[in-house]
Amino acid sequence: MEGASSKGALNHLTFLEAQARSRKTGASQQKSGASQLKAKVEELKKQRDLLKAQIAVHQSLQKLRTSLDKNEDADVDETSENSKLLMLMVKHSQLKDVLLAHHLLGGYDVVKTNEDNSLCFSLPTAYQGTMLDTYHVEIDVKRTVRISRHNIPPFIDVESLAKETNMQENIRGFLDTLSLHLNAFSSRKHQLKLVKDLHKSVEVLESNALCSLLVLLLTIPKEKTALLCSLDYSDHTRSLPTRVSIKGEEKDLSDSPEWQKNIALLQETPVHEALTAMRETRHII
Amino acid sequence: MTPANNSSDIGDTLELEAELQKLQAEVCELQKQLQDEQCVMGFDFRGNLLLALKVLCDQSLAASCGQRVALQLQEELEELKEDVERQSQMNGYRVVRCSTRRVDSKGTEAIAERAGGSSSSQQVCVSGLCSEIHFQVEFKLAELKFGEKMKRTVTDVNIVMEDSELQSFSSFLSRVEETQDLLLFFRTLRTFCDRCDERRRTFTHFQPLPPQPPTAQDMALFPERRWCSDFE
Repeated sequence: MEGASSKGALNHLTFLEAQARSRKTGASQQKSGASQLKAKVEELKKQRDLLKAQIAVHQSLQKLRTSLDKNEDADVDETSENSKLLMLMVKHSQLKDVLLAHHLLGGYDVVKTNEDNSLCFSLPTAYQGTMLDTYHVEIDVKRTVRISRHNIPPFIDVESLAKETNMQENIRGFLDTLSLHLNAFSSRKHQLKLVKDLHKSVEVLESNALCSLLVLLLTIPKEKTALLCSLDYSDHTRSLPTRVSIKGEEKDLSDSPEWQKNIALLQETPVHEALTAMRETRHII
Repeated sequence: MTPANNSSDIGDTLELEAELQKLQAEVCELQKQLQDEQCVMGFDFRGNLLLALKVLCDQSLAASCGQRVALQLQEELEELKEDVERQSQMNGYRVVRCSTRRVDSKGTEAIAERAGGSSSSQQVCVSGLCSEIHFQVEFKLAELKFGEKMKRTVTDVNIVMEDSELQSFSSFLSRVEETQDLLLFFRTLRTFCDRCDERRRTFTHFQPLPPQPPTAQDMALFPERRWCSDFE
């Protein structure tokens, strides 16, 4: 596509840049005759001029971008070719940043694939401020709307979610629901990891792949007796349990008012945080 | 070589070596300055942007392929605009502006480098619209890279929303700011906006009659009440 002369010019420029870069600075040059020194001086002058030009361009771009962002009138000569190019570069950077925003705010990053026959979506998950795994779904849209590929773990039934949310008519509705399930799962998985990391004296007796069930062995400080704490996350769109029970060896503690508070805590706060609170109030070690 | 020529040669050589050293120092300084500028900028100079940069720094290149590069860049801009439109449709909100500013976190950067990775921190400011409701979100984004793995964390979330039907939203906003849960915020915002739209359409359908102005008797009975100046 590029003409031979422009390709040649670009190659030459690249060659000069590479040569300048490979030159070691600071070391004293070999005494090799005035003409060779002159050549080196010329090379360095070229390098210096190139660097100055690059810095000037960076500064112009920054200035132009700042004033465009503020909706101010750009202080440029509209007719100069260089100004037109600068403007294009700045608009390019603005659009890239808008796309970045869509990505960071948890958007689906939709991409056309398969010669425009399919759409690929990314589903990011996060626990509070920490970004966790991102999942992907590819949906054919040419004739029938159907899922062609995905990397979602099998214990989340993607096909039945697609049916429930009427994916054929409403892809965004399907993605929103799927995203809800994935985020809740990621969240529960992350909370389990935090329990294992932060609470060494708590033993995880049982958990499942979906992280919808958790059984923990807690220890009471004074008597060193064990407590069995079961958390049921039967609502898979939530990262908090729907049912909590705590059983001691001798009796079911659900009735004791002190432990009522702890059970409420476990139902209302993420499990690792609840356990920390319980440790601080000396209910468990 | 006559002795006279020899000494002037040596003189030239010394002069040239001095100039060489001066230039090397200058080049070193400029390289540092360029690196600093690149840090602040956040421009990703690849593809068409890199070509444009080269054109701007070299007059001969500008003459031979300046116009072609501008055309390629213009085409790419059109593609990017289409992409933005696609994202807006799919995500249910529009981003009007996004700016990022690199934030100094030398302490974290040093620790990451010692462990063989790298870290960077940016202040991100986004303004946009979700179905006619303006929002502005600011947050700090920290990225930690170790080989292939990257860990992203969002902190210092600050959200400002155009004050309309949002009394119920303000406590939710505080919770999002506390927990830094940006993803949750936008999912919920979109659902909330969809509902607001539905409600607005419903209310427009059942428009109430305009209120009647107060009678003299009303005003006499309730002198302390401030009657709306619309009626005066």
